[in-house]
Amino acid sequence: MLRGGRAQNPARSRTGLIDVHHHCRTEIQGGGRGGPGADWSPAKSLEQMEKFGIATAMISATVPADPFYDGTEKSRSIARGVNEYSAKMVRDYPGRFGMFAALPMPDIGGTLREIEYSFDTLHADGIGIFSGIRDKYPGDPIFEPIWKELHRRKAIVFIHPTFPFCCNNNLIPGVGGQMVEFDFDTTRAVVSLLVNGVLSSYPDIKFIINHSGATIPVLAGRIKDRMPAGSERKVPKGAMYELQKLYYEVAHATYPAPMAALRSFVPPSQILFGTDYPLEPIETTVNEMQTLKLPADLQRAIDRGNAERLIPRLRVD
Amino acid sequence: MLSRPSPTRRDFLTTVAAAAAGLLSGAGALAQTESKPRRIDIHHHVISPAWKKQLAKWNAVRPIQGHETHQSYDAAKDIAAMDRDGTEISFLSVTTPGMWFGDIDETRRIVREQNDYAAQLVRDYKGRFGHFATVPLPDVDASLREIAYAYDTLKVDGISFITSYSDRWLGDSTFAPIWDELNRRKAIVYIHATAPGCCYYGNFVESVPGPIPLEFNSDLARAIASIISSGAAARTPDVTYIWSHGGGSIWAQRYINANDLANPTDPKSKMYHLRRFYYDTAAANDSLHLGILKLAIPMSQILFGTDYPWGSAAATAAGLQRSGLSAAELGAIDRENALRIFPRLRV
Repeated sequence: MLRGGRAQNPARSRTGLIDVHHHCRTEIQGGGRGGPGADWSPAKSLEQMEKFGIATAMISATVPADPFYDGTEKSRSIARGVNEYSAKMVRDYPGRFGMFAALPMPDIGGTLREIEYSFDTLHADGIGIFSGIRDKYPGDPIFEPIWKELHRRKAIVFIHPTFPFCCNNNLIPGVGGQMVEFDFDTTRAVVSLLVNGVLSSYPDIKFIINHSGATIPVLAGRIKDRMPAGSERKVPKGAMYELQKLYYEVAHATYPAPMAALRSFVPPSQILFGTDYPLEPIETTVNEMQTLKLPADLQRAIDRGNAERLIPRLRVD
Repeated sequence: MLSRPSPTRRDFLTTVAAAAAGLLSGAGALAQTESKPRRIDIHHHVISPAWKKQLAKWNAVRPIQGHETHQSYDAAKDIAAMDRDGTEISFLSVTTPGMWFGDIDETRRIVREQNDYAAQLVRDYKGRFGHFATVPLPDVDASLREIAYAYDTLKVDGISFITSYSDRWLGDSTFAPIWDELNRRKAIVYIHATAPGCCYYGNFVESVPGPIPLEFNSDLARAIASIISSGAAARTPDVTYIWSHGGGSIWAQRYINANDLANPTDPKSKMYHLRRFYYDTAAANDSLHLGILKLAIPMSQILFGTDYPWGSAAATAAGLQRSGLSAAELGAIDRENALRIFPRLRV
């Protein structure tokens, strides 16, 4: 409808992009709405999607992560509220949005219930978690029941960065955590899932790693060489195998170096399009990607093809 | 309560009579050295069957330091040890690692079963146990409900906490309603050391095994600083705070300094609160720790505590006796100081 008043749904386009890293920001989450994207609304998302030819955006929660991770009923109700809000967006604009549901970790019981509700009632496309759950990383053994359930459901799990709990924003005075700490925390999250055997024991979970894999593609060799003693039992196929089967989205990391690293690290099938809108203008991803002049088949796979395979309901025949 | 001790304990009755006579004659400390000392153990743990089961489950996920001792707790053995070592009454409390491992439903259930179990021991062994019930933090609403249940139904003597819950220390702003409620109830609060999420399971210092040697006392310092600097201490003048293990490393922190000792204590100062808090002697029963405590706080604030079943009254008392304390000071620690907190224990 936005497209020149035509009744055709842009989501039915075979060429429209699928953005797997796109946020909703609601008052429900709390924690302030300052900063980029403070004036976000679903209409703004649709306007930007139209401008850049994005057919469908998968929405997930963004920072602050803490409101979800209080460990009590309070977080259960915040996660539920954000998920209901997202599901309504998906319903209100058919085909234009999908959702990765938020979970009230580390509350195991509340999380298991929210997984059930998100998939069975809200028909979520997957789950969105943050790199750190307050002072714990996602491979922590206490989360085992959650991974077991997500494996059973063959769930997509999108990992979004947050500030590392240890050091908040003070590690380098004057430097916001988003500059480098976000990517380091994503890396820690992936390493935590790797060394604790989550990636190898629950292979039916399809993890999407943000920002072209943060520092994973560059560090993978060093990670492999420094796996803790005894990890052959937990990770029998080795670190490289586990890291190379993950999905990686490219939001704000389509610069030549990270894309070269990512492309040499994983097969083309594992790379997905993402924008981090509204925290990041879509231009910073799309304009840089255009300068790379990727082979047409790879570009199509990133734009849409790989995501269609991952989320079959988005397929257009 | 104390007028009806276990009828099978004739020696205990004798002790009560002797010590009571001593008190009346104003020679309490002397009397205690001659007969059984009627100690009041303020730092004493109970591990209910439900909590044991929960700990075993999480110990299998990741080993918990001291786990064998959690599993060894037995109330009958506890009473036998108290009889042997001259402990009249022990105040039962929670200990590390608490009952929250991420599953808040489980936490609420185990806390309730633990509190009910301890309350049953108080009833079964009349006069031998006091009870500091515990709460299902970080769930503040459920903790407020548990506090009401503990006081109004179980008639407990106070509430016990661990110093931190994963990554939140006791003065955390989200916990403020709990302190307001405890102040309203003029609560006695017992706080046991633990290690926070950062440092519980890893080799934080490579050559030091587990969290007990360094992290527990560090976390006491964090929790004390958190209670003072958050303003919780100032907002709760009617709460009686009892910190385990001599307050841990708070005395060595730059958070306070010696000038505070020399000056009259300003009610707004950190030292004002540090001097009104109480501290127990568990693993602080030697001349070094007691020397520091005597320098920093009035003798009236030191209470006898053993950390049973990890420690014993006999070993704790033996350390105290080697610490250069006078008979009057030993008597104050063993019993007299606690009597001011619990007037009902006076015979």
